[in-house]
Amino acid sequence: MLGYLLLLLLFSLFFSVSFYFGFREWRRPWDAAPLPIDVEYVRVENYFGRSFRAKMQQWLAEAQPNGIAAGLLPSGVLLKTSGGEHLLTLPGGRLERRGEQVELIYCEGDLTLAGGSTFRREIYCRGRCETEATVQLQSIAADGDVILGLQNEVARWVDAQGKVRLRSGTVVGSRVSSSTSIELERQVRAQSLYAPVICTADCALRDDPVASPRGEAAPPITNGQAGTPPAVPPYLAGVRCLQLSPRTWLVQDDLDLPAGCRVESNLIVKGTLRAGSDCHFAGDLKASCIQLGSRNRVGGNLVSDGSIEVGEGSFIARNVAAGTHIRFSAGVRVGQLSLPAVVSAGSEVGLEQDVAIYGKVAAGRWIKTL
Amino acid sequence: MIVEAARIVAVVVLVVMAAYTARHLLFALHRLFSRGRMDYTDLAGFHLPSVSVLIPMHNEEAVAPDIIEALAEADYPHDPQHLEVIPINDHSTDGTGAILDEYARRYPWIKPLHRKKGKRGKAAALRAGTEAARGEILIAFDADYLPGRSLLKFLVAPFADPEVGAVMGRVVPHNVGASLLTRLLDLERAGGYQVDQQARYNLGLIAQYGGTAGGVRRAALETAGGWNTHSLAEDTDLTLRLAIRGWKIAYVNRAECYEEVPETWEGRRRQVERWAIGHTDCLHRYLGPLLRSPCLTAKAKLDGVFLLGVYLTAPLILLGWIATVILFFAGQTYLPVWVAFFLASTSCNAVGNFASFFEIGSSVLLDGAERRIRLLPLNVANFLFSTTTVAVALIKYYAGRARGRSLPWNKTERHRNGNGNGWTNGNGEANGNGRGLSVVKARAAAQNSGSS
Repeated sequence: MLGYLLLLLLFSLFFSVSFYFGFREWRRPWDAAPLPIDVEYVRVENYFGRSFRAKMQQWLAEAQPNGIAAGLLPSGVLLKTSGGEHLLTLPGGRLERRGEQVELIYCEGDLTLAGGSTFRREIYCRGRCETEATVQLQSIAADGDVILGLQNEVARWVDAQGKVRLRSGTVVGSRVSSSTSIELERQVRAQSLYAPVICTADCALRDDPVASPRGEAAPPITNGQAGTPPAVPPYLAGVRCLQLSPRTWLVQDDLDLPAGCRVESNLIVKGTLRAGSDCHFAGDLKASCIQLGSRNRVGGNLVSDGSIEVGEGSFIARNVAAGTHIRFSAGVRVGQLSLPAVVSAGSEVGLEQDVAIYGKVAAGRWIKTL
Repeated sequence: MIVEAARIVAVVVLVVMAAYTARHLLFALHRLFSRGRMDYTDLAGFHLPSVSVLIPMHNEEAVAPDIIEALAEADYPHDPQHLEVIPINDHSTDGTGAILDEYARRYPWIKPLHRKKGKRGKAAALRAGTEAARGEILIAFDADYLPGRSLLKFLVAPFADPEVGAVMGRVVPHNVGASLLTRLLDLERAGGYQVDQQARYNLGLIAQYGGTAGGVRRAALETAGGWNTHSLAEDTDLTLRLAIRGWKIAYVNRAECYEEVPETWEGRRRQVERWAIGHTDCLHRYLGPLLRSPCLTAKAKLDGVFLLGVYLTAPLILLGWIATVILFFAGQTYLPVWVAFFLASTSCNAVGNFASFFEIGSSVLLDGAERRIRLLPLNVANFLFSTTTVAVALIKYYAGRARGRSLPWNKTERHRNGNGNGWTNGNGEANGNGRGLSVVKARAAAQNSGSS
């Protein structure tokens, strides 16, 4: 009996302690506000550059002179903001190497950064900005072009109104955005890219980004709406499949499509989808793993929970999304100038030379040019 | 004889509740320690199919202006090829119809549908709205919801995947501070979406389309047979029919939307009653087809059974309690007292509060809202209330089923804008800025500035 009473007492103590905090929170709430949702949020793809430019304008308006930066070519003026930020303003020219630059930099004209320099704070250049080899940067925004030299390292982001060119070996820790185009040489790494045109080395579009891929007319964007597929398409003969909707087929196993196959409907494959060369898909494609041969044409979206490999000279009209990695062979084109698309991978995106993407590329880890 | 029956009941209840506890534990651990699955948010803004937004409304003059204004501010293209909003005035007797007509004059993309005949209820309204809609994707909102500017883009992005038949966003209560009940429901919603729905989606199980703040592909809806007007839980009904036919339901945690939760226990009772009956009705309708479906994996089928049977746990728990009392007074103890004490106190937190420690605790951690976890012990009130309400509702359901009757649809009471008196300017014209929307925006702004 005594044991029961002791247990009851102990239980009541435990209970009352937890309820004490509960009652206290109820009567005198610390946190009774709704979970914050930014209902005004609208995604801006070049948000970093935009917000930094606005901040810089604010700093310039309020900053006070804090001396002349001696030993610099060109000579700059040092400013200090009310918040204690140190700001170096320059007219333009070539900024020589002088150890670590710890001030924010604002440049009125074109700017060249000497090789081996290190910049610990952001740079805003009103003109064109070019760096020599092995420069280390925090972030850079420019109203003109940005050309980063060999083996540069950018800790955060790059944003330009003009084109951005990243030379071999350059690494950008976060986003590269441009209002014009992004050109990537080999062995470049970044986490996400956004521009009307993104192209890799030796891309034929570089001088004429409006041109359609390899001079051919892009297939119409049917998104699974055009034509009427037959009851059981010939390419699914002998395959375990079922029709999800009049325009969507689901295949229960792997599917191998021969060269030149034409698929008019949306296609979902539970296993691996392998397509030979010159296949044409009018609608969307989904599979656990996708391997497309050379010169394939996809009119809709390309989606996989696993990986996607696209063969040489292929064209995908809409978005490409993979749970793990994506690899585009030479000559692949994604999206169109009038209808931008996204290439998104949970892990890595590998891009060979002569690849062009109209829109955005994002990767959970890295986008790499090969 | 009674003791023997009580023993069998106790064992069955223990096994069932242990299975549910394991499931909740798995979900919570998965959310805390595993990577999420592809959620398509990168595609938001780049996949813009034609969308029809359906908003069933029955006497919603208190909240109608807010949702229309919120959709007017959405960053989805407001052109006929991309967006139409169809508020469905479902037999309203208040000023809802006049408000909608006024907005239709102001915005060409608003196409109100006035229903004065035919069956009432959300599913019937959605069915009528779907017939009038032209969009490839149908997004449904309850009238009290407040979609943010980018919500439509986040909700339609997963439809780039041809296997996705429906998409569900996350709902967040905005009237949290109104009463103890709303605060408890806030915790429950957080656990239900941040942990339960997201884990189910990540693990390839059946995420649930919730009928609001979500969308469905028209082709999928048509092949699944459309909205079931005979169901009190048309969302669960559609979820099951889509899953059984091979369509996936995607959950997008980033697609958050404010909702209004019941502020009174009576309102909550009616809501839970409707859910319990509708859900259990789906169990009877779809358990067989679910288990026979060639499109679902074994683990998805197993989780589907858990999903369908979730409301049956309430009467089971009550039976278990009765059986325990009988066994106790019959002297049937099998365990040392200290083990029984440990099990009882642990069960109270883990099972008694419906695995609240696992799911709600994990969700407030993931949401970065740890302070509100202090309220968790009081969730026992919500648990006891829900358990008894569900048990009573299911008794009603089975009694009605035996007599061949169905229960009517009960609309959830709204509390915003003085509960229906605050929208007009006296001339029957729509007041452009409902108080609810501005209050929520102000709250969000204040919180953002506070956190920064």
